[in-house]
Amino acid sequence: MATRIVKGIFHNFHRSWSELIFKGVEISWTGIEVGDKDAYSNAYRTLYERFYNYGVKLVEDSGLVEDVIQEILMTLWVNREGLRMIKNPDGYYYVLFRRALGKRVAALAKTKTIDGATFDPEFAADVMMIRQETDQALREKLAAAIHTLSSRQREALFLRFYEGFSYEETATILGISVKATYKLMARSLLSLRDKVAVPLVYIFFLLKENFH
Amino acid sequence: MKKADKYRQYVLGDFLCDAYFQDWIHLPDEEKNAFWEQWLQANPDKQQEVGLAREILLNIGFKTSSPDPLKVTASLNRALAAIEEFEQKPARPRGFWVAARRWKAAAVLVPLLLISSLIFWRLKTPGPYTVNTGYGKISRLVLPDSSVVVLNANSTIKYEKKWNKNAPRELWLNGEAFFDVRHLDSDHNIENYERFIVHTINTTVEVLGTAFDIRERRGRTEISLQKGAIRVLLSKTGTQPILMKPGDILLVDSVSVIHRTSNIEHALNASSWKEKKLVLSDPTLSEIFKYLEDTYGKTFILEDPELARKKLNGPILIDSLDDALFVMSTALNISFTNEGDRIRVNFK
Repeated sequence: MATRIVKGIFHNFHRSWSELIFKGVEISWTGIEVGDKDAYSNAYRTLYERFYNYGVKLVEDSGLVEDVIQEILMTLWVNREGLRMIKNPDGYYYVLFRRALGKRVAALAKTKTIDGATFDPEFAADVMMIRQETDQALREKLAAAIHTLSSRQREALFLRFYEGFSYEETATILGISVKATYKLMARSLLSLRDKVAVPLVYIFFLLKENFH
Repeated sequence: MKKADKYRQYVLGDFLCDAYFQDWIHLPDEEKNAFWEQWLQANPDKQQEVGLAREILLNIGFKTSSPDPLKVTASLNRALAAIEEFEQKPARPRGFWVAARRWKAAAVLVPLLLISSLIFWRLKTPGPYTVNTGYGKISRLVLPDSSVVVLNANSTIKYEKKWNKNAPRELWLNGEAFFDVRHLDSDHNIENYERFIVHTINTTVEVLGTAFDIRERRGRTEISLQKGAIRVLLSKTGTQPILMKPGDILLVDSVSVIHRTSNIEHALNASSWKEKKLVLSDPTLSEIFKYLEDTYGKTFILEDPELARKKLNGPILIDSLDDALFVMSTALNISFTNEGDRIRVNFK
């Protein structure tokens, strides 16, 4: 494994699927492993942006998120020699980040509440977005449907569709089994389907547009 | 069953939940495009369902939040600086450069101290109570609220003689001290006077009933927490408090966290100087000499850089500098030559 494409943002809603741009930024894990500081610096910026985008959706306090990011990215350098043993460093560091963030939030919650119940970050609902050019009625239905999803469900959708992680990777980041992840995703998607009871006319209109 | 055959049985919900279908929508490539175009041509009756599934999946989008690029750069620079420092640690410059570095530190610290003490003096007109320890001396004091402070050698602590009933308990520390704070809070509702705050050049440490060690030397502050909880604010970037739990050891300067570990044994060892012992988690001669320099005000000059890397495990008695040097010379087979403020170190 020389390098690995990090899946980035590929939501350009004004293009059809065939034109969808796959905005990839390359991280040279091998470069980091052999102690190349430029490779590390590039990875630092890329991962900082990705972790930030993910972190602020879970925790409102961006200062805390950035604190955890710095901590995790420091360990990337300190533990660089161990990179060769890690099959999927991209997913691995996502897991580390998610865990560290959860821990920090739990520690903070403990000092605020007396009984110190364990606290899991909430994945915000208002960060989900509906494609602008979509028909108004469908858009409203989807927006409402998204609000009925659980924080976990939204987070799973984010990891799978925004970050482009596989089901296996998503499962590890969420800390649940692959089977549970399939179930979680299916439940979210089917609930979206149920809430979007689109009239047949609309479907035909849609098809004409997409499959000439 | 072949993929193409399998999909013939699919309805809307199945397409939505199929990983390969999802990948086509969100991570299209030539292979997937070719497969699905061909498949749809062969199965025109499925076009409706595929179209709607595609529409739903495409509509699952998320806003992108980007960090402030300046903050990213600042964070990267802090990380690179910490890495550089960390990597240069074993090979210490010696002689002149040690002295030069110390003067550089003094050049920064002296005005800083002057300014802060001026501000302090102006703000607190009644005048604070100051306790100073000389080289090689340890001092134990009881604060107005009956909390105990053990002040290590070459350290200063300042506080008000009388603590106001409505104001937090506040202290200013240069050097190293161990705190055993009396816990006043009884109802989880922290009143102002129940707060206990220690200021150093780099940090503000807020205590929530606790035993901990603060070591403020050479522009850095190391905080080791033994019990209770404390909150640390960095003086320059102090917006987000760092919360520490027992066993945590935090090394910071005034802008960032340099190192953070958790090891209750090491945290307890951090205040072993109270028992006139030195127990370091990284007992290289370089670290031991740094400690002795801070405590006894001498400068160690290593005649051979190899010396810095030698290790001495186990506690070192530091009742007096001579005792400490004697133990090291017999254990490691090295010699010390006393030259006033400087001590030359060599292999025997």
